[in-house]
Amino acid sequence: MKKPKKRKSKNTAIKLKKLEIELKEAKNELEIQTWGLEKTNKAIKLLYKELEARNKRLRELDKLKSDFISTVSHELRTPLSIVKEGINLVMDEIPGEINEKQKKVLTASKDNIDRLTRIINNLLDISKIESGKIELNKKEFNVAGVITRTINLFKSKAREKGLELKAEYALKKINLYADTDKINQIFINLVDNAIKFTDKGVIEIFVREKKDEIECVVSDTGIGISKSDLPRVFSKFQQFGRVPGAGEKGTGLGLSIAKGLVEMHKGEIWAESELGKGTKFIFTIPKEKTRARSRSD
Amino acid sequence: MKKKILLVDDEKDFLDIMSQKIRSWGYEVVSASNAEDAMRAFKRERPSAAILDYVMPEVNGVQLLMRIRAVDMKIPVIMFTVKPQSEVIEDAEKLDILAFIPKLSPYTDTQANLKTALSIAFQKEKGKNAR
Repeated sequence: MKKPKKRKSKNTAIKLKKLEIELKEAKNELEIQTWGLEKTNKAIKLLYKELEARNKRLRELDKLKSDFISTVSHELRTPLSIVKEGINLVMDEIPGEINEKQKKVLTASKDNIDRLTRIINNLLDISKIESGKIELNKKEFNVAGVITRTINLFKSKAREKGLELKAEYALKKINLYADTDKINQIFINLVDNAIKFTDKGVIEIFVREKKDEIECVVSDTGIGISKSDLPRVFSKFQQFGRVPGAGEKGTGLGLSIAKGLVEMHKGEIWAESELGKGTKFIFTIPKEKTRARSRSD
Repeated sequence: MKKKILLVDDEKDFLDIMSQKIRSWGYEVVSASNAEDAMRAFKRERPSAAILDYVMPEVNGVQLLMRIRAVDMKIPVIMFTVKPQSEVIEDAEKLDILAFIPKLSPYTDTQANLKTALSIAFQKEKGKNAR
């Protein structure tokens, strides 16, 4: 009867031995893993330091890029304004008479100075938006006033192309608490774009007051945007021209700037279009928040 | 007698071009390329209106306007700048500025704007004198 008891204790001893070996192995494994983790940790810390240094360098480079664009843009504007006014002076024949051929050359030069000015302005704006340098100078204003200013700005350009440029908004005041200059810039960029891509018909601005937001629409009867191009319409430097060869050359930045400015106001912007049937650019600016800010101010 | 206009801009080429243009509208032009010369010319010539550039080294357009306002509160003043921003306009409006004209805009005609601003300045003056 004593035999099975002896076997049992022998079995227990073997089991214990096995467990001891397993434990030792696990300990070894743990030690190896700890060593590995320590190594990985050190490597991660090194990488983190390197990433931090690179990040700092990138921020410095980004600031340098923005400062460079800003300085260059300002420095370019002064000589450009002199060239433009000089051309105007000659075209008005103040220093002496010029012939029709010379006038034509000067008109083309002037148009290209305006084009260059738009490029400089857009580069400066996009660089400010991207570097977060633009601060919103919010105050309460009537949207109708901004629309009237935009229409006055483009009246002659629209007339030159035989286009009707009009605004339809409720006669009552639609007040907005936002940055007037930036909202004006959004309308300018959208109307400028609409005129570029519309050869006949109407460009119309609508403003609707909704429950929580103000919805603004700039619609045209132009050449439209293809379905495949619509998703990239707000991307930078996109000059797909809606259809090949159509429209005037732009900077490919106007819509991207408009989107950046709308988003700074926590609004949304999108386009609805069909090739040959015109385009609608719609943007919204939240109202509730603006009212709350307005009260607290 | 021709109305005298004080034109101040640190860019001499711009001064020359705009002086020729303003003269062609029938005004007399007194020009200066910095604030010190501008103040001297202002006191000596007593112009009927002043056109100032906003961006100038050392003393900018608004600072110069403050000096002018210390001597003359009534003179119509027009201000030029490369890119108008509402904060700048607000600053200038406090000093009773007649017009704020962008020096370089792809959408507007600087010379036409200036001509309109000058005629408004003198129409207002006429109105005041008539009263």
